[in-house]
Amino acid sequence: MFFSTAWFFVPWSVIALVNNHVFPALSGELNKIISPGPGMWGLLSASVILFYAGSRELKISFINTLFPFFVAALLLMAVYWGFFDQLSLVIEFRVRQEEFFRELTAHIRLTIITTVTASILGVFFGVLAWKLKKTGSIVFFLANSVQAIPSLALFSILILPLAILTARFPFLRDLGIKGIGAAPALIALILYALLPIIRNTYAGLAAVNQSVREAGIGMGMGKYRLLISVELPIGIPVIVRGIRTSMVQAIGTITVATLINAGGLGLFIFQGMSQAAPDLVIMGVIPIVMLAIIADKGMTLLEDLLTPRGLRREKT
Amino acid sequence: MIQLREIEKYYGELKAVSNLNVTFPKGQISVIIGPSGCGKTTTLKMINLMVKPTHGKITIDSKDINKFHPEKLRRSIGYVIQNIGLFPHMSVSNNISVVPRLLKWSKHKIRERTNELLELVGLDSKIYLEKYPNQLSGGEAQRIGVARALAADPSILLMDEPFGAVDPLTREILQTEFLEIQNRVKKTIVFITHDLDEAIKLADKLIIMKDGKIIQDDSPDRILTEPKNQFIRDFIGTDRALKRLLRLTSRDHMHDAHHVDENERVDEIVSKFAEHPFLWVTDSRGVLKGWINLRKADHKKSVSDEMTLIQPNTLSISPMNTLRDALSKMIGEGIRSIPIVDREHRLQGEVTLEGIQEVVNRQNQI
Ligand SMILES: Nc1ncnc2c1ncn2[C@@H]1O[C@H](COP(=O)(O)OP(=O)(O)OP(=O)(O)O)[C@@H](O)[C@H]1O
Ligand SMILES: [Mg+2]
Repeated sequence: MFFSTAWFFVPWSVIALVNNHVFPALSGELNKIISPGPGMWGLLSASVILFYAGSRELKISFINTLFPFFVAALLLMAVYWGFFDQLSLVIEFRVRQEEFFRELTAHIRLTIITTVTASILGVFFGVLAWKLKKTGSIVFFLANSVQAIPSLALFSILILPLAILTARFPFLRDLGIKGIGAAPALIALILYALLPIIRNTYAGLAAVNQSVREAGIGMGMGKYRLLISVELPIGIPVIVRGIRTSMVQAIGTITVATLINAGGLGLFIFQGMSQAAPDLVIMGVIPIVMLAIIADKGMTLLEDLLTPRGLRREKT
Repeated sequence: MIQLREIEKYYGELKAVSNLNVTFPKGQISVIIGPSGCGKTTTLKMINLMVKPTHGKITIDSKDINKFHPEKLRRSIGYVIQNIGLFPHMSVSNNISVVPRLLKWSKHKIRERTNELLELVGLDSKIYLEKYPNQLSGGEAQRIGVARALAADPSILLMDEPFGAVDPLTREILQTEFLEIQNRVKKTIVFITHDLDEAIKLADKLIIMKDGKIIQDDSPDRILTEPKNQFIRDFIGTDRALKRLLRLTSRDHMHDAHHVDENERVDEIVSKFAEHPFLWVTDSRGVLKGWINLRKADHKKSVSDEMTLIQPNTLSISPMNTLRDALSKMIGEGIRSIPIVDREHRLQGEVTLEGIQEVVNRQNQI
């Protein structure tokens, strides 16, 4: 648990940072606004990355998984109690609170819609690719090609056809579909999210032992039955891993979707960059990182839950 | 009864089997044996429509199998796949009940049947029902594979090297139990193996294949006594006499064993057994305890004081063991007779070296 110890530095470094507040008598500078320098943020990110990389490597326990959330919750509570009120970031946050929660919600909504839709389509195409081997290569070719397009380019590519479509069929506009905004963003996000899910679905089904499959057929299972009661249950952990990859990837990509007016936390990042306001950037970055971590951990947990007992590593 | 007529199977250019004409009789064990890649599995899979023959016709009880719905046919035929192929994500009970569930039996009936089957293959249902395949030993997994094939009580059983993945000792136990089960259930069985001893021991009918063709198809005794050509002679090897002992069970060739109760006094029995100083010792229920040599025993003591103890299952065999098992154990232990005991370890009789010698002599005369 070497890596989780890295987390102990986080609260300490933050406290050190605001020690004027904690130990005002020592510094005597009670009303000064504090703006942490790049080194501070660097240290914070480094410890997050360290912990994160470590938690992937080691098979860490549930409690350890929860630990960063515990620290994060502590920090949030500290913010709420006014503990960090002198931090410029917190001041910025208080000013833009309403906007922040709106964009956070938008970000989460886009993530969920993307993940759910891509999961359904991705598993469907993955199964299709596995069952019809020839179609398989076409599916993979398409999904791979999409993945190769830079995200901003893909967003832009979709603007034109959607703009034309909505110009021709105005009722689409009433449904909220426009050349810019959430519709093209979602389409692009879903297309991106497809590949990892298709690939893992295919891999999950392909990993089913041939003799197990033959046993199913030999016992008199039909194709559909074999899929439902043998192939998918055995492949499900790999499939969920694919969904996890897609979800984390989507959380990152949605940041860029802001540029075509889809909303999301990217808004603060791009505003901050154009106004040279680092606090604003960080206000966007921190929740995005946290969302990514939550998604990753949550999906790992889901993977464990969905792994059939007989396939879990440790013998129970 | 299963009949294959003029069966031929090509995989692309490769001729896997050809000119197959064979009958698998009802209620008997037909064993197919032959070198790897000679087409055994292919032959078996054609019977349950998992492989479609390129030419020829297969009938079950004179009905063309193509008339059946493939999935329904497979549900009515028990299949033990090469490499077992248990479903790793299902518990033992769910593995066994796959076919009954496909056939939509009631929950109650399924539970009853599962327990019954586990007992049939000699596993304690309390311990095994909720285990998963990754918690089973090779031998246990193979028993579950057999139980799964038997689940819906099919009249036909296709078994592809069902005892392939276990050590020789476990294999022998599984074979013996398998024969006991077959004596009770009388299925039509097509059994594939690589192991000639296993084939000779189990087969009512033995089919030797090579390069996709049947070389000889006969009773094991006939094959051992009248090998058709040099290939068969080489295949069955030089120890044909010993191999024939595999066909004979101890039950059919044991004699009554001289024995005494452990509570007797030596001086009271010594005159009665003057001719047979070497005796097996049993308790009042007939359970084998040990042996005694009256010539060396102290006459004032009781039998139990003077006997040499036998640990259960070390110096004894079951009635279902073959005469070759008996012979090899006698040679291994350096003894001239071996006690036969039932499951409760009660003495049933004995097999002697002289007895086996007589059997061999008699066989050689015919
Ligand atoms: N699905 C298949 N496609 C192509 N060739 C096959 C296929 N299945 C079997 N074969 C070939 O057919 C021949 C017979 O195979 P089969 O599996 O029947 O052999 P076997 O006697 O069961 O061998 P083993 O004892 O090793 O199990 C082999 O040459 C094998 O490579
Ligand atoms: Mg085979």
